[in-house]
Amino acid sequence: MSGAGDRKEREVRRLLAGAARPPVPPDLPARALAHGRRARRRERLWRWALWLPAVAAAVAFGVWACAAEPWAAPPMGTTPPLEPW
Amino acid sequence: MVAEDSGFTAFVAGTAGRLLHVATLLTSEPALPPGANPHAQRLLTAAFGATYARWDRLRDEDPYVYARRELTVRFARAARRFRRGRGGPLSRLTPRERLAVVLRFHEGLYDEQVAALMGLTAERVRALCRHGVGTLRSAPDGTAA
Repeated sequence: MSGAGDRKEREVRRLLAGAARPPVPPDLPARALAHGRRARRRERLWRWALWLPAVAAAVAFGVWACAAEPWAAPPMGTTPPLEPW
Repeated sequence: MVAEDSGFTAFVAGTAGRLLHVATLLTSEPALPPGANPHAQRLLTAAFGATYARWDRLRDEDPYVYARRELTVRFARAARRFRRGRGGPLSRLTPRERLAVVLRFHEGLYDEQVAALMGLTAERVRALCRHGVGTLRSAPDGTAA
């Protein structure tokens, strides 16, 4: 059973190895390179599109925090009681 | 722009012949005359392009293995378009059978490696190969019977 299977597999291996080989078109490397450059550019663009808003948000928060100082105690609504003289 | 190449052109020159053969077997297009395999060429160009995009971050990974994986994934994604044979030697097989048979018997991967690439169990890959081999043997020349 396994012997017959091996023989069949050998035949298929031979068929694949003996199949006609397609010639590589001379412009294929250049096309691949152009494709790769496009992919890289797209990737870089995505990275910028993700990082830029994040950095802008962080800077905006910093500026707002410095200006508004939300950690400072709010001004009192009432005048403190006058100490007796 | 030549400096950023760092061996990619040499890699393509060295592996394009073999990978184009694989791609043409997968799409079941005829190998000859030249230019009879536009789908295979497109798949391979995209796979090489993805390899170039990752070229500097491949580290210890074999670029050939990476390019072959890209080719496999891209073919599997477009498999529906290749259901009908186009005249190649594996025309009578389904796209999945072609993928399993080519990776197993042409590329010499183990069942488990093929299974990992295709997202199937090893048992399923063995079944695909068995069925594919049987179909090929019933019509060895690949022409419709």
